[in-house]
Amino acid sequence: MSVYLIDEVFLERNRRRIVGIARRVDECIDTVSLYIPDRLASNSTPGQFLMVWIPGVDEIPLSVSYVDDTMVGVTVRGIGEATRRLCSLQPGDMIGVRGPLGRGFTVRRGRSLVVGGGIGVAPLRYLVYRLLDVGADVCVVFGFRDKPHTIFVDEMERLSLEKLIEFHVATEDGSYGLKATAYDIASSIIHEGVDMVYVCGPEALIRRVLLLCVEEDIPMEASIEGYMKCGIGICGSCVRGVYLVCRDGPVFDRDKLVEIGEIGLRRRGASGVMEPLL
Amino acid sequence: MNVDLGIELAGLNLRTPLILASGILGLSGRLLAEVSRVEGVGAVTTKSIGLNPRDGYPNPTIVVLPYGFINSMGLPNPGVESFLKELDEAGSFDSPLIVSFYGYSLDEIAETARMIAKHPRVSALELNVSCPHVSGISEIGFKPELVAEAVSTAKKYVGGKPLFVKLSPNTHLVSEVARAAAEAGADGITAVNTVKAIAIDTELCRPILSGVYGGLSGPALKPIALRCVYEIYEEVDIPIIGCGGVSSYLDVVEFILAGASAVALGSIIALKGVGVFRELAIGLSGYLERKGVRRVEEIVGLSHR
Repeated sequence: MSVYLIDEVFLERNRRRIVGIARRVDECIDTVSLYIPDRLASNSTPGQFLMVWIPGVDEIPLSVSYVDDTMVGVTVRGIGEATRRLCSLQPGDMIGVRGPLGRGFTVRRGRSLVVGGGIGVAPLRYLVYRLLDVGADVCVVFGFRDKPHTIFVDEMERLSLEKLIEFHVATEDGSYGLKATAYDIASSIIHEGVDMVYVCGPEALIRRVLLLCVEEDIPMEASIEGYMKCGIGICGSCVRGVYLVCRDGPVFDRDKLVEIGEIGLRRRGASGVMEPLL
Repeated sequence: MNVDLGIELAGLNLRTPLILASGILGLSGRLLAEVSRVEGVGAVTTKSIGLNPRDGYPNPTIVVLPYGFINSMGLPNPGVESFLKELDEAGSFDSPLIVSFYGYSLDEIAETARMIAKHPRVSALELNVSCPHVSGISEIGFKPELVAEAVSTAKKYVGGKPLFVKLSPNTHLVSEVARAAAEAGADGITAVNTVKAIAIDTELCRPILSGVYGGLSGPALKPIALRCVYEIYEEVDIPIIGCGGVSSYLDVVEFILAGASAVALGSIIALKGVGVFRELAIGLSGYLERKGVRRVEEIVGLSHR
């Protein structure tokens, strides 16, 4: 095809494939995993995302939390109109899928610390398996608000029992695991020494881990969010600093996160107005 | 022989005739300032800014086709006050900054233009009377009298800074609209905005874009945009910024031959990144050298003679 026209890979990734949900798993009181039969999306690497179209409602970015030969999984917490609608979908309900999109985590060997908070654990769950595939020495730290909001902990505990990973889980109120924050546990592990840190979750968590990794000079990557419209680097809505989350991220390394600057402090809303992050 | 890509455009000096079109990467002051420093960039245009913030439309807001995009963003923007604050924090601009703006009424156009023109970092303004999928704006763009009113109102408040007007291709009277704009005092015409278009999903049997209608951009738009530039060149004396589907240096040449003094790039930047500016500048230089031409202005409108 001519260089002047849009290339076939880009075209196919952005064609909205209309598929029926294959399987639905209630992960906790407000979070659901949806398994979607789309071969192209199942090529996602950890950290990449899909644009999921709920016809008549919205189309939103969702990180991939699972992959196999034909199926891709996304994990959704119902906090707004679109996510609540997704959480109500049943097998057979039709949605549209675009992707895989974005830059994912760098999967490599070594002593790897995976830190997640809340719904942020979703892309990390997929990352853990890929790290194990390459022989990394994986330590997982998940932090949640309370027991009713914990997800994927049974799975991580199984991996830990099989001696495949080291797993620490914490809740803010102590109703499950340690009474602590993900940062508390992560920081002591970082001080003991790690080769790489991966983070996803509330920006306050990302910011604290980032500052610690800068101080200790440890490589680190985080998946961050930006308000997304086109999802493919055209409109500029998702800009953080000088980077587009949809195209240059959502995973950014330590140096880029420092350059972006506003992580944990400020973020743009739908109109592009900068709003402080509480 | 030394080709000089520098041009003068309505009193602005541009290093090259290549401009970042409105709506691409243009929401953040910091990112825009960075783009203004990229090799090959002659000027940068912001996202269209209104008096008040707009969220724009829910998704889907984009459709990717083999020959272009259809977008229905819905003019999301932080509003003029927020945006000007961002310009303060943006760092210095290395190329002229053109701020695109719109208004739902003459009063809004006046106030928005006044606030924008006051900012020291702003080199020029571009009045958007042509977004095809926002009601209140789309209807202005093909009525010569309405465009003339909007232009003469804005002109009173731009404090002597150049005022471009971005016209709509969704009319067979684009040259008439251009003439009205020129007579009302516009310093230049940007030709053109996107063509009103839709896409339908054949599985769900419904329009894909949440706003139903969107604007077509990219290669499919080029022959139409070229036609508009060609027609407008015969009708006005003020400079034209050609816009619509430019992907290669030969497209740039075509627009200049049709009558454009400068050329804006949108969809191609989204696809290939800002490196395209340098690539097109080199290609354009090579073409001019091959033709024995020293300055871009020598071939503006050449296809008419």
